[in-house]
Amino acid sequence: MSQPTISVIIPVYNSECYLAAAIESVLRQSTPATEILVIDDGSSDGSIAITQRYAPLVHCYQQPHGGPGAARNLGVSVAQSELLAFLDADDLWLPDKLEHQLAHLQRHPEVDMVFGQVEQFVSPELAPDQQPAAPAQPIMAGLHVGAMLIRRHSFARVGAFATTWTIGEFIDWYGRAQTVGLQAAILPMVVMRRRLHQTNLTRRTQDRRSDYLQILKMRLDEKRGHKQD
Amino acid sequence: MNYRAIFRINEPEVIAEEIEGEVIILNFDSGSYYSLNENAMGIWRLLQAGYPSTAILGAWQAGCASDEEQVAAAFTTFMEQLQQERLIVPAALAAIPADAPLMTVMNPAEGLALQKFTDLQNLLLLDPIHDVDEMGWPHPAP
Repeated sequence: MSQPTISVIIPVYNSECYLAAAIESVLRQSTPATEILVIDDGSSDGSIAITQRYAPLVHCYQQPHGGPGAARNLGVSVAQSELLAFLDADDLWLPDKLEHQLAHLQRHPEVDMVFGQVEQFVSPELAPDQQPAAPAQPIMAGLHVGAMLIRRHSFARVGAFATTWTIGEFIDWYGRAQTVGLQAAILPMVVMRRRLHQTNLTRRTQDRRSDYLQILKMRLDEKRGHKQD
Repeated sequence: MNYRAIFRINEPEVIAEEIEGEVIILNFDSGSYYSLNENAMGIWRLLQAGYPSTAILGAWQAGCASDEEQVAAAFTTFMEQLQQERLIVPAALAAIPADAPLMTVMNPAEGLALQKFTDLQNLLLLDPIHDVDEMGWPHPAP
């Protein structure tokens, strides 16, 4: 049986600190990706230059700043493969992430998307006063876009990431995936490391976090079978 | 419970908003979210305004116009639920509104309901918060 092709989509916005580590965690996969697409979301720092260092292994696409949802959507539109994976530019994959997930999808044709565990870690280079508190639960079942491998045709059943929200767009997308009945599996091993840095937490205190409440309200209305406008 | 106690919404861990006539509450620490029935929304608004429990209970009893003990018991259970879920926490004496709290007529048969949802717990706890400002993610310490 021939191995399905895999596209990896990495949205980037001013992430020169962490981008190289993210790309290298994809390049070190025991089952290599077919293509790696970095989508630059209007960065003004050195993110593009870092991406270009990895050409031709890594392809870079640019768009005006539109948020992570828009960047992932551009990645999906140019991706050529049968399977899609995403990684945020500040996070890291474990080396056997794709190997485990691909094997699972091949063994379970009924499964649309596969996740794994996610380990959270405090970004080590931050000064002590910049470090967020260590998470209460460092390893969690990773319903996180960066921990997902999904069949392209299954992704198409759900549709693109919403660009309405400044945060929480994966929660919205996952809710829609549940509504259309996608089957998800969560593997027992850690597949991704999520970097905790100051921004993860300070964003919670900003006004835009009310996007979460709008998404949750939509989710509740859907559950109750309300007609959405 | 101590009806003289004053509680505050457990911000910033908890956020809440009234959307299309429904109060939606999210606890970032637990990843749980909640919906309140109409009666409970009245109580929540008074908590947000900073009224002490005794004033809120009084308004709730006046609104219900039914057996006072039963109404007080429902109120106590509801307030305990809010505390257990860490949606409210005790507050120091703060600026209490001078005017008496007003509440529209309640439907005691519906009680006070806090509906809890945990279906998106892991998604909410792990949600990647990106798209920051033009500075992007923080730079390493020099």
